[in-house]
Amino acid sequence: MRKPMLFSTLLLTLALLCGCGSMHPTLRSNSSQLPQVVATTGIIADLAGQIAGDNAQVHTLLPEGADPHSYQPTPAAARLLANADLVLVHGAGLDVWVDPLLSATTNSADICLVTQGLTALQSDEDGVDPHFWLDPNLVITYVRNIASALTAIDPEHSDAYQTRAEQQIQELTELHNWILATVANLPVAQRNLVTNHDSFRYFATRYDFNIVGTVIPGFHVEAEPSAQQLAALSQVVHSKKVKAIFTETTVNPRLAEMISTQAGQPVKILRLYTGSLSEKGGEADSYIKMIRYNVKTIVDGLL
Amino acid sequence: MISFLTEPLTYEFMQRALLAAILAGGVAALAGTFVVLRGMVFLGDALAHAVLPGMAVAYVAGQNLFIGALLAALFTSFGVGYVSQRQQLHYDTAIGILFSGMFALGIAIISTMRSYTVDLTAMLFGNVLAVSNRELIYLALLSCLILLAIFTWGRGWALLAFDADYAAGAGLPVKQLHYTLLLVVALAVVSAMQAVGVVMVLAMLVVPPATARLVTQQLPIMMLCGVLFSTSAACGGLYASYYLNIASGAAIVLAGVLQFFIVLFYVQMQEKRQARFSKTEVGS
Amino acid sequence: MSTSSAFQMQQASVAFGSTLALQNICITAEVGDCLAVVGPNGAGKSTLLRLLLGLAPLRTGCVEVFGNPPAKSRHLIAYMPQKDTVDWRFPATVADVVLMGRWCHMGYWPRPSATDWQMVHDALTAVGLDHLANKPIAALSGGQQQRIFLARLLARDARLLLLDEPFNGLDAATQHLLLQLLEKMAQEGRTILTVLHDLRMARRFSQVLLLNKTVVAAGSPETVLQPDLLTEAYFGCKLNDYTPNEVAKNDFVSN
Repeated sequence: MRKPMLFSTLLLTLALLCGCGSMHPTLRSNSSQLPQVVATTGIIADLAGQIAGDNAQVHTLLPEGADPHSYQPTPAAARLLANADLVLVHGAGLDVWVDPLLSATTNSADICLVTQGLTALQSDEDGVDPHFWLDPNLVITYVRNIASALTAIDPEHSDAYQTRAEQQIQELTELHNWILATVANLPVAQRNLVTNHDSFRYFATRYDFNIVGTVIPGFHVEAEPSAQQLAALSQVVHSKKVKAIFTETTVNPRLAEMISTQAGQPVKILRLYTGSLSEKGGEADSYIKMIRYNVKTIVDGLL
Repeated sequence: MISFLTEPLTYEFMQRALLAAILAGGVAALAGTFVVLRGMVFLGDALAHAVLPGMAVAYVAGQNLFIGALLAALFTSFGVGYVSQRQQLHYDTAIGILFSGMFALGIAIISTMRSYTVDLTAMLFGNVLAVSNRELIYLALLSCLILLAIFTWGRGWALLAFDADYAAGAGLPVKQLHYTLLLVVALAVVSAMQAVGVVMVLAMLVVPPATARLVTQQLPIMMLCGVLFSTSAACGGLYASYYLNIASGAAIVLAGVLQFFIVLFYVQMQEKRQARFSKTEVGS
Repeated sequence: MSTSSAFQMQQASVAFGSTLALQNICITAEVGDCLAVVGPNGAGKSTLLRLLLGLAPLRTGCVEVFGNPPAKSRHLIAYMPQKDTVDWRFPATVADVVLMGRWCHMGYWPRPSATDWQMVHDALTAVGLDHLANKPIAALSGGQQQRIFLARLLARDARLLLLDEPFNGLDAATQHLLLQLLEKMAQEGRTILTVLHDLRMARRFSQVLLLNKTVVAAGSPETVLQPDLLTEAYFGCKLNDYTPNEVAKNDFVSN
């Protein structure tokens, strides 16, 4: 009977420690006194980092390359949230996984919905489309929301935040103009987009593209295409003589490869960045670089 | 050393996670004792996986997910009972059919849901770090219910596991006992799912009782040890996930399995030592 | 039906799906009778026992135990199944198993009383295993295992005892013990029905039932254990159909 005694002792000790732990003042190790900002995705973190500068510390929950739609939180992520002063949540159905985690970990942090104020495209069967960030004009709203949130938790540096926010908005406007110029080289008849899932609606509306079809129907990558849908898509690719299909870095490109084979004509398979930035030092390691890369790839691919 | 143990506990989410894992694990170990003794492990696995369509349908209908899970588990157990009445089909076969059918149904339903806000990953792999106070209360209530059930029917289940023929002849209500056990297992599955998700619930049902079986020959002690072992696995796993930054559900299961092998080797070494030093007993 | 009878079957038949296991069984046993049931494999002997427990699907006819349907009389019956239906790796002690015999007397939330423990102790003493009361059953030998079932039977204190091949695999000493206990219980006025393989053992009983899906013969051992009846039961034909060389008469006629 020795084993059970051993373990019951362990249990009692742990129970005691639990009791002690709850009475103990917070032992959080905070290496700096800077406000702690936690963003759910790398893209939001990039924007927030530009605005916060040296005045706040920005962390990301999602590791690089991970799909925001399917993610398993670890204690490190929970710890970040517990220690946060401000949490930047995307909203519009992109990061629902963070809600239960938020209510379990923080009660004092400010929560900022970066897409506040934007009107989302809706469809009856697919729900809300969260992919605002592929259109830089809409990201201006993100920047404004992040800036006011930062100001709210750290009013001392509100001037600095506002200045950097304006700078960022300036850059975004320049980006928008650059896109217009680049896209002008592509005749409208050839602006047919086939993407991995339906993430480019806002982009398409803004820059006059046609979403001819998507490999995975809907906005959420867990949905599976039926055999019928895949066949229909191959047919469209063939009839409209689409030159390229665009896959995403965060999703397996196998389905896209299948469609290109099925369509019976040479179709390039090109990768875009939609859910996540590239690694540091890569071709799309900041929001602006990501958009530039995407637009160039699209235009070159369809030309 | 002390800070090693206390640092995770300064976070409320870790305190709640620990409590949830201990409660869920304890309940699973108790119900799992009878699953192991009755050789119902495959059925336990089927119930665990069968909850997927229940949750999917509950989500679509806008109802409580756990009620959906429970109903699916009950449907599966009755289904298995019904199919296995045909003499040509083994119990095993019936379970295999219901198991794969229900799981595939769950995947099929989820594949048609083109927009949804529920987190599939959390269902499949558990979300113990995000347990709320309300969920803890549900868990505590479920635990009380299960304890009550075991107190009422435990002896009957034990006799059924040991000698089903005799039990029937002795007038024990065999059908009632079978279905109450399935109900309790379904409840235990639904509780343990929060900590480790559908995919690994079987481990919480089976591994601690199996470990307990190694150290004792008496049923009440086996149940107590099962709970102790599941508690230590929950604590060990959560601490490991905190310091090594790995998924908590998987860490708890791994801790349980590691514990099993440690106890196994310990017991085997004890037996070897005893065989060498003591005289053999005279059997008759 | 007579109220002094222990059990009665009239025109009873049992079928599992489309397979007939027992047909047209008519038996009456008085209180205190000691019956041996013999017959070839597949004769339905175990099914007969289960019929008295209400565990076999009765197709036609009726069965009564102490004047009631079997399901209502279970508390008066003690059943000793064949040894191999049990899981011996189960975590239980010898006393735990014997205590199972007392469950029908313990009510819904079983809390064993002092009387229950006393009966367990007495039963274990009667089979000579009192010193092993707290030993785990996994550590027992085959003969000891059979004795525990016997102790469980005794502890149940029933009026009708049904035993399914209790002598299988027993050593001579334990066989002797079993016979003694059965005789003692018969003297106490209990009714006993035992399924046997060994025809020599069957001669020790006051009544024998020769079964092969239907009752071939019933009565005292002398009248039932005759070569022609045995051939009919075991080979399904009359003795005259075979030449002497084909019938292994000597296998059946024993002293």
